[in-house]
Amino acid sequence: MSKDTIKIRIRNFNVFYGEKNALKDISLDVQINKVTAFIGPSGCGKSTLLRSINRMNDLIDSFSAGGMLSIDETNVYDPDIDVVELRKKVGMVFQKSIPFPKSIYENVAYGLRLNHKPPTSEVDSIVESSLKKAALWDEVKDRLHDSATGLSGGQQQRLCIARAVAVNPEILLMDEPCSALDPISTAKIEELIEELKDTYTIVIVTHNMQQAARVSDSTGFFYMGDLIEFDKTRTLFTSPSKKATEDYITGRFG
Amino acid sequence: MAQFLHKKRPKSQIITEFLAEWGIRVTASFSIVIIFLIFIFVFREAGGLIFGTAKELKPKVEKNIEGADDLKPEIYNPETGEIVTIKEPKSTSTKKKEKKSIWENLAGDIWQPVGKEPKYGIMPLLLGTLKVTLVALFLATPLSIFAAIYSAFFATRRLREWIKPTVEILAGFPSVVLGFFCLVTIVKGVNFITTFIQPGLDAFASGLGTIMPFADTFFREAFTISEFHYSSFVGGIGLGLAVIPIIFTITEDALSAVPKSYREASLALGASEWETAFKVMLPAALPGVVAAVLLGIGRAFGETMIALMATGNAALMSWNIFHPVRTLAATIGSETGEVQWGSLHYNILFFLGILLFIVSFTINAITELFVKKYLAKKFQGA
Repeated sequence: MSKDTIKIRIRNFNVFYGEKNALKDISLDVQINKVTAFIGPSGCGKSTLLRSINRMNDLIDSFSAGGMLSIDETNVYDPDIDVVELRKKVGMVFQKSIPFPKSIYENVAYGLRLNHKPPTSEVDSIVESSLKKAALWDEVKDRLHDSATGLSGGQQQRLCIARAVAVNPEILLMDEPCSALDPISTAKIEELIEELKDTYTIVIVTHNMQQAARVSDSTGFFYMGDLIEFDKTRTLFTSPSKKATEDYITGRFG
Repeated sequence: MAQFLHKKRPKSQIITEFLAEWGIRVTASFSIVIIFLIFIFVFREAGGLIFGTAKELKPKVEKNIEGADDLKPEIYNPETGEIVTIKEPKSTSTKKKEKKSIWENLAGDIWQPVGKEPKYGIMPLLLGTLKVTLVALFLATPLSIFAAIYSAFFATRRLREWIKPTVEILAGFPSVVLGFFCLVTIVKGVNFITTFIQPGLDAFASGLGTIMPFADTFFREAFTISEFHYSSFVGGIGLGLAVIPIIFTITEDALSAVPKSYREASLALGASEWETAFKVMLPAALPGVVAAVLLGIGRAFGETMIALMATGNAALMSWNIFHPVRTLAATIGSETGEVQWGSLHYNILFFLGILLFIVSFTINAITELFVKKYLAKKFQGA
């Protein structure tokens, strides 16, 4: 592994919620233009790690972090880091796909119009390309100015992906993006992840082990705040080196 | 087969349930009945006016007061600061006035309910109410909405736990205390600052004049400071104090009710807290904010004590916000105690009550309909 293929480098990373040590000495590397999946039972810390990457955990009062988490060799928890700029670079898709109560167009254009006002033609073209990237354009091109809340669950989630993609991030974080969707919508999103990884580095948290096996290149298994095992997805699912990993992926617990 | 349906429950349980059910029913109906009775009472008392049966009762004069006939109706002229006697050619006017219907009288612009020729023009009262309400809203709406945004999104949790109850205490303040505060303190403050804010008001007036050139002189006059101490401005500040907690509380609740996920999604896109608050959270909470402002209007409109104490309580027909006013509610409040029962004046006071009723009913209806329709459109898709 050469150094310039590593997008996110995590070393001895610790997270505390008050006294509780939610993540213990995590070390792993996320490869550029690859899909990295975090799996594990509820409360194991996988979402916490994901949300530490774009510092969404800062919203929690009792949160504190130690160790190193760097993107392109810059420590994200450096006091000089501008969180707003960081979050523009690191897009995020949430489990609950609640689009803003605005039109489809306004939802995608929202991130673009922050800080500065680009000309309308530019916004138009970015909205179109983002919706195309999210494989939603054909379904909504005739009703861009309808309320986004009228879309189906799967469409809403793809809209959220388009919204995240529109600000042109380098990394996409996905927090259980399919857990509220039906199998067909899930398949669409998984297809989409496959396409998006050419442009973006993707980190996905999922409860669905088949999904991790299908879409990811590397997988990390978390349990009780520890990173039990991190390896190539194929290796982890076929010949896990730890007993706990094997038990979990074969469904013996969790 | 259905035997288990007839299982006997203990008698005491059945009786308790019966009593509880009927107790609740009676209590609920009782409050509705009371509201109905108030409604009927007010309409009945104003009825004489509506059905045209009201008559001017001649006051019983025990003995002739010397010089009483020489008293002439007077009016204060705010432009010159003089007290002017209204000249009326006696011989011709008496006959003419008789013919004037009560509705024409009501539409007049002088409110002088006591005198030889009582004038019941409610225009200055409506105008006064409007002016005070506008001043109150103009002050209270931005203040309370900004405060609500601060409390909902920016204050630490501990601070928020202090801000909200403290502002809500203001809602429970007896309005007579607020009125007294205006009467004694606010008026001094206003008279102190008015010397400095005239240029600012001029700029504001000319700004409005630029937007609406046809009303340029109107705006200039409306924002010229006068020598009056008590005015719709002072009263408006007082009403603003009463309205702030209402708008604040409801707006704050509406903002807090917006799903947290909106905030997270917006922040994750690289929006700052301010952008998130103004571009996502406030629009999403808009129905609640509109409802809050409408309820604030309702409160300002019907507020009696503050308006009575701090507005100067003179029924002037003037658009200047620094002139004294008399509001509908303050008129009822100050005159009902002295009115001759059953007289036309008495009927008219209840008619003013009906006007207040109609306005607050309309506002509530708008709140209900607009907000529901809007909510439905916003959150269930177009």
